[in-house]
Amino acid sequence: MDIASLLNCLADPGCMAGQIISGIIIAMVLFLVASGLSLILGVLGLLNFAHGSLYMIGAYFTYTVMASIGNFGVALILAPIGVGICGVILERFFIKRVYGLDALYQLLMTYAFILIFDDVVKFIWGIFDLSIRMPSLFRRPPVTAIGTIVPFYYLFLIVVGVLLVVAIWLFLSKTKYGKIINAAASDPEMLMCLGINVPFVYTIVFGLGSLLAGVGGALACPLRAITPGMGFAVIIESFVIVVIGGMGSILGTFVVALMFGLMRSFGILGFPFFELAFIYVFMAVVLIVRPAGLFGKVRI
Amino acid sequence: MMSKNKKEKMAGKGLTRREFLKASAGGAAGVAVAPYFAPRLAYGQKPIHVRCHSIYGGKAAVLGRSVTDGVNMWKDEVNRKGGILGRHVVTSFRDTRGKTEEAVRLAREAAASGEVDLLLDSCSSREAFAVKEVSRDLNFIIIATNSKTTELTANPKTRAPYHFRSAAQNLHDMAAGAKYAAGLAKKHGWTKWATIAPDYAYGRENAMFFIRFLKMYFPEAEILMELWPKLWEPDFTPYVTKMLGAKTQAVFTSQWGGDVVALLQQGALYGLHEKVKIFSIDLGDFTAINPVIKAFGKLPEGIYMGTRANPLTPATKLNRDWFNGFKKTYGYEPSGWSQQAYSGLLFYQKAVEKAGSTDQKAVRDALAGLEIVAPWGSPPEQKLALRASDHTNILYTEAWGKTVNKMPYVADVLTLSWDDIFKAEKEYFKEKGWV
Amino acid sequence: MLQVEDIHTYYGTSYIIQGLTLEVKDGEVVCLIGRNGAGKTTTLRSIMGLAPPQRGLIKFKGEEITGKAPFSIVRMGIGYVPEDRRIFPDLTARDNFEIARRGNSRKSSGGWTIEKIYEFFPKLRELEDHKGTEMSGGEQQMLAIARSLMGNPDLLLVDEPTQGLAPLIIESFVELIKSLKQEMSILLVEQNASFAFSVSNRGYVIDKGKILYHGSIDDLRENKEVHDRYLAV
Repeated sequence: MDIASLLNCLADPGCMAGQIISGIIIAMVLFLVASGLSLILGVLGLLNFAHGSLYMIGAYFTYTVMASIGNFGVALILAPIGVGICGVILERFFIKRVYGLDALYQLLMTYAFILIFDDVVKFIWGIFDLSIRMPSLFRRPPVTAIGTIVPFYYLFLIVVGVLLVVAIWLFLSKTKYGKIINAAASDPEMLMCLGINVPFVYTIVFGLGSLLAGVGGALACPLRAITPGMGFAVIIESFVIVVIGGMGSILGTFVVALMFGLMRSFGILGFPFFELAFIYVFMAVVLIVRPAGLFGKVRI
Repeated sequence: MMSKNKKEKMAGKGLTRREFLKASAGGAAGVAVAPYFAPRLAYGQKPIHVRCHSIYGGKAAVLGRSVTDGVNMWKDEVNRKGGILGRHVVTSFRDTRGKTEEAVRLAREAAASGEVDLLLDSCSSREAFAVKEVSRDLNFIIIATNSKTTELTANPKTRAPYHFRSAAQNLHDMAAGAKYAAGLAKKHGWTKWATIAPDYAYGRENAMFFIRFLKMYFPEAEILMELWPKLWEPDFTPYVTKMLGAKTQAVFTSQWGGDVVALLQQGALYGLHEKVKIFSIDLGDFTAINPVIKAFGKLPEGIYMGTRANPLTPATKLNRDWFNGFKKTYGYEPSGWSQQAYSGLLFYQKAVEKAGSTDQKAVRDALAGLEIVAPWGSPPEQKLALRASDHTNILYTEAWGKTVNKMPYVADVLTLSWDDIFKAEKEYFKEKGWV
Repeated sequence: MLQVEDIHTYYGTSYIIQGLTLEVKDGEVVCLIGRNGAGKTTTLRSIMGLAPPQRGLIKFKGEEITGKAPFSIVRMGIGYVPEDRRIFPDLTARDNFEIARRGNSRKSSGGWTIEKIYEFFPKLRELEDHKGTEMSGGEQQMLAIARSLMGNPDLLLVDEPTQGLAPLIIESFVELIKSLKQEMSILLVEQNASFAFSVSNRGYVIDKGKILYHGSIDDLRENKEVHDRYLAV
């Protein structure tokens, strides 16, 4: 326990701001991964444990683009698209077979893909940890504000994260395709009876969810080592966020990812030995009080 | 057969078909085929079979790979020189997937098979304690090559007569590391310390030892905080900001592999390694140095690190040749894991020669208290020993230095004295009642 | 327009439709009446491809549609208004029309637009920003029918539209069906035989998955058994 440093920090605006930024940063990458997971869980009802692997592939694709073209902007576009395509292929050939089946089958299949993707990655990129350099655009002194410093790349991450949450929200709630996805989540059979090719919608949704995981992987690249199995480090936390936020709710995912990040960054100040336990206790409480999650709707 | 093949392919990526066949000698295939490829060896004699258990999947895959190549390097050297007692050596590898039950099951299988002469337990501490019980149960020689947890061999109540350790030990590493850190801290007045270590047995134990010995050597040191990110934590930023917020002067870390890379990457955004002196026990391993160099375009200078499997620690021809030989053969630098597996095999080789057979009891008796010359044995004699009292490896080079951006990436190397390490160890054992 | 020939449909192991044959001709309203559990809804689901028959043949405009995916069947010109309406809870009336709107390649002119829907159902114009969950049963039923019209069907399958509606509203549905009849053929499933008879040209009586009897509405009205079973209160 280190309550003193938590209290000291709460009394110091600079420290507060610093920890808040750290919390937001944790939230951003996690949100990108979790939002795709939430979309897939909410619309397709699929427990996709391999989602973390798609994040990993996003990181490896980014590495390859950086190694060959060397432009982070290009990588940030190509890598997620590549992951989206992988997602589409995965869905078309395998995942579509387990829709509506018992969660156990979904778990088995998606877990198998964690192992398969890890092996594929090892086969293509080798087993040694890789990394990329911080893109030169962001290699500049951090911004100083409210008594704390904000790394330039983190500003970028926050901007991208916020833009994406707004974009996803607009897409889902304002466009025809978003509405079709919404309808597919509540009554796919009826949607099919309106002439919508629902299996195709499912493929697109899975591809989009994968693409978001790929964006997460690409953005995480300058901050983390790229390793086989790196998806495992984000998948459990992403599930926690989706469950607390309410599956299918992008806004819920975003808000809970922020809460998660802040609980961690301040938890590390006050209770460095069990800051993670807090989040699981929080999840338990939410599930008791609101089984559909904070922003989820109870579906009949 | 299928799954076995698959594991072996995973184990030995890049093996040629011939090497693969030799490596798969667990079955009859290898035994039958190997003589054709090792014509200088005596016909008709049963080969000496070394089995190695490691982890080949997930983030720990790099562990399995570097262990495997350490084993292969030894095997090829031995066979090139005509084997041991005229018998050639075959090896086989199994993947425990980091699961204790699987490690125990495979260890029992190996010990009971009658085919395997030596088992290398090259997983983590978690498996090591359980696998030690298999050794005790079946009176079968098992050498733990990775587990650094002190209690594995130090607690007299749980020692197993056929169990040995060729890994370094947290207690030794930290007695050395803290002595090194204390010397610099005293000189520069770094009194405000933090520790950041992965939240599992390895990290917890070495952070505990570091704090203990730092305070012993430098009582003015104040530990501002102990930070415990989980193993393979993706986000280090809040830890960095907490350290910086508290005006930490120096930090000890035992994050390893990708974790130390991520810590430095995220720390760099806040100027961590410029503002805080970093003492990293595991950055010195090339599995971490290489990705750090890629992440920064060069190795950030002025970080203090423990160095193992490095041509400068010790700076002898024997060690240099070993390092370069490994690199040339396998295309990458050896890791501490390769080195420790290789140590275990050197001990075993010498013990078999001394015993004149592979009889478990005879080899065991030879192993206890055995001294060998090894590339990383303490200079000048470069001796390495398996201490008779607790079956653990001692006298390996304990060296720290400062990072520089030039192969082999370390400068101002200080080799710590084993006299000091023994002194610190003795005091700790006394306190624990382990003497 | 639609020919259903000797279809057999199972739900799991239960044998629901046991050799059913029926036909809807151009411009006709045909009703399918029968008691609860007789197989009415399953017949419609079989036609839609939601519960494809194991045996038998379904033809639409002369083309076989057995085994086709429901969305392709819809695109060929069959609209479906299911039992209990199945309104998407999060979408407004307008959203419903937007997602159901299909290009109109089959018809040379006309075709349903949102504007035409509002002329046809003035009430829905007022409700365009309301979500399905905020509507009454009659309004939901209207929305369900209007939504299926957005696909420009030549044949509409309507499953128990009057279920749970007040008599006054049922009255208005008689007019509605009659005016839809100008534009398309309709296969109407009903338990409410008096409603069904008042709008249909012909009728089928289904029981235990088979057609028991069929004929003109006048024939059906005069049939004693039909009268006793379905018209007597």
